[in-house]
Amino acid sequence: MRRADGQTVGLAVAVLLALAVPASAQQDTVNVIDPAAPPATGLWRSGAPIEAVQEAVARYNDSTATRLYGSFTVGSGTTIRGDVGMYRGTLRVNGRITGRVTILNGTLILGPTGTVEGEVLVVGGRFLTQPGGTHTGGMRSYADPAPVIRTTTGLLEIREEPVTLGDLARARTTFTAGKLSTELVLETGRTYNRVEGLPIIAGPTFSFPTPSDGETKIDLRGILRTESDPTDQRAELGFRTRFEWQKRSGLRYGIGGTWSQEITPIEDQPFSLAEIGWSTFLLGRDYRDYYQDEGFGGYAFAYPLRSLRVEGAIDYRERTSVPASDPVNLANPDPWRPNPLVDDGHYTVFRGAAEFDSRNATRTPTSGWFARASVERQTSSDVAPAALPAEVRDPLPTGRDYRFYKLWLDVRTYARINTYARVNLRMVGGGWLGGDPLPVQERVALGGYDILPGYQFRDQRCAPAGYTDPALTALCDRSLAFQAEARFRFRLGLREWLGTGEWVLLERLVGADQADVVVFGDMGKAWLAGEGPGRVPSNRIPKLNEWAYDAGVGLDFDGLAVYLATPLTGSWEPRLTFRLQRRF
Amino acid sequence: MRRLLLLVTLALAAAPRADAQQRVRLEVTVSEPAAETGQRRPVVRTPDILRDQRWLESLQNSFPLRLQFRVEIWRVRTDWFDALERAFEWETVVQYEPLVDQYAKTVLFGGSPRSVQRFASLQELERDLERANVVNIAPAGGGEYYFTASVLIRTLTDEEVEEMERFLAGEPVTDAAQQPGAVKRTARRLLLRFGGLPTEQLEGRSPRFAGGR
Repeated sequence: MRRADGQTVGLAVAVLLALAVPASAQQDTVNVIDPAAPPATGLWRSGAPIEAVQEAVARYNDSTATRLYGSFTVGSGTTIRGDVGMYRGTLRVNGRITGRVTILNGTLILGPTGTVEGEVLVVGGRFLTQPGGTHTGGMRSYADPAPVIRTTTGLLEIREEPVTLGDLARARTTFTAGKLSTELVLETGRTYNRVEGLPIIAGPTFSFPTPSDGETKIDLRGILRTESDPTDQRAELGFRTRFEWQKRSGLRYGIGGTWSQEITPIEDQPFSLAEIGWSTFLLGRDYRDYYQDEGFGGYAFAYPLRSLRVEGAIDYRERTSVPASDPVNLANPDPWRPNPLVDDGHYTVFRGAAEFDSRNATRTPTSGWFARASVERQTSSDVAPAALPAEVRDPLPTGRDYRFYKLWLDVRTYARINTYARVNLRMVGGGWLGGDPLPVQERVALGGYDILPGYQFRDQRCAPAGYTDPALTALCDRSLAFQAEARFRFRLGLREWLGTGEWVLLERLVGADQADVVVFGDMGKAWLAGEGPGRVPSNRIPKLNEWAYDAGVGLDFDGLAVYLATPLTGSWEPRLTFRLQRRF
Repeated sequence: MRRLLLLVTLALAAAPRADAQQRVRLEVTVSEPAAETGQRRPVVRTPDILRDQRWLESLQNSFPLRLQFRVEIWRVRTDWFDALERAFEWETVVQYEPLVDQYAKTVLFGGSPRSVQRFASLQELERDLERANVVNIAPAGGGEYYFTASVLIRTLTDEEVEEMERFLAGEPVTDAAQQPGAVKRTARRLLLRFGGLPTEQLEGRSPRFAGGR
């Protein structure tokens, strides 16, 4: 009995001592913190390191590996000897694999009776071990999808970064001779419009270092327009030249000069230039207006903070009305909307601007601020006014210089609520600040597809009742709008749903397997400033019950988005808008 | 048999349990001498970091954990105060990513992220965090040395997460004190601090050892 007790006590003590040993003490590996380790750039946002993706692709493509495409189960009692690679789907291991297991854009589940004897590399998925499953060997797992595609031969290739629409039809080459670097560029103007068609831009950029860590750049570009002007009001060829010197270290600052002759849009909205181009080409709808802008000027800039740029500029420009041409489009046989006349003349432009940008990304920001403000004073001694209704504008002065001031503000903030929710806010607006009435080319409007997507195009353009204008010219002095949106990120899971070759095409279009559900609301108002009927006093903004309000929902695949919006005032008319970039 | 039951009871009471009572610790030890140089390096561990409910719950509530380490090499001097020979700091940021149901661990120092690891389960993360961190610094010469280490464990505020993301993305991170919202940020941090988000500073010191060859 004593002996038996002694054995029992010994066993119990051994068990309890084993229990008492901290689990951490059983670890036989260490993490090395090496101060000499190189920085790992771009790790946070770019998903799996490209080296891991390359390694995974190489393993999958290895002719000795067992390649699996789509979900597969290694049954209980089954043994696979050698490396196994799987692309898309779920690999369930209830049997045994003796070799490396590589999973791309899929999940590896080690079942209760499963054994993997070899290194596991999962890119774009997860490695789950159920109780009883056994894994010996290293393990690396990266959740973000691997940017790969499957070729017709069954092998994988790393997918190139999707080009932006603006990068299409763009070629460039760079060569260096001594300290002089030369880049030759041939590209489209990143748009397509009803005035000049497709502008094709070509020319060199020279850059060379200067003392005190400076750099000088000279851009020389010629612009070839595919549409000729039926009225000879504009030149067939345009050009753009720019000289700039910049100090690149310490306090960054620089000076520059420009000389150009280009077709310039009147307003910076709606839509981006690339979106305008596709809309014009595909749908035959060009939502901007244009004029020819020719002249020269100089500017100086500085970065007092890394995120803050301030700039002052003076230009001497000749602004000329240009008519719409007849470029081809795929869908709309109707005549193009006329391009409105502007107030032709020579203008001297004094401009001060500041831009603050602390966003974490330019195209798809999730945090930070963006603010841009500009003030312009423009004068002209030979303006030739376009005819506008008296309700819109008092006559421009004669016998003295014409001059006016204009202010523009655009403030955006991007806030992260948690790992999948974001709230973004924007205030944008401005217009006439003082002096004589604005010329046509500086007037504004609101409504349609961008800032107020629930409303029709230029719903607020300040045209007096009964005024017929097929060009739908923007006539307002001022506009102000607020936009708010909440974005909820979610995983699409299309890969699991499809699991076939169709996903390849979709993946090329959509890219990441994640999207945002967007809930948004906007409010805005454009108005005529001054005294008189239909105008708002210069020191006031319109009453809130006169504003336009809309709300809607959307689905945004990192830039390729569809939104459904409806006005909250007036009639209930939902409108669908497709976008190729974020709303703001 | 009674003695056995008593022993079992006592042993069970003495055995560490993975419950809410466990607190994270900081252990500082000295590595074995390197084969070629004989140099010894600091080894830092934070046992039970995820057995400490404060940190586990914070992590599971999507608050990232930031472990801000500082390791110092001290040379013992008999006639005066000990001399600080070298110090090295790094941060380990651990975050739960609910969207993909994974945990990410990022190690940063010298103004750059140095490594990112992802873990499919809390157990894998815990296994990694329990591992010893061998810091690749060593005394420069002979004499008697010891290492000291400290770790400041905090959860990050949301603003700090964004700041870190900007930092990791290579975007400029400006001095928070110069930001217009510095007062607001400070107030929010204080609110979070007093609102219950835990913070803990631990310090440790290794035994003395002979440095160099």
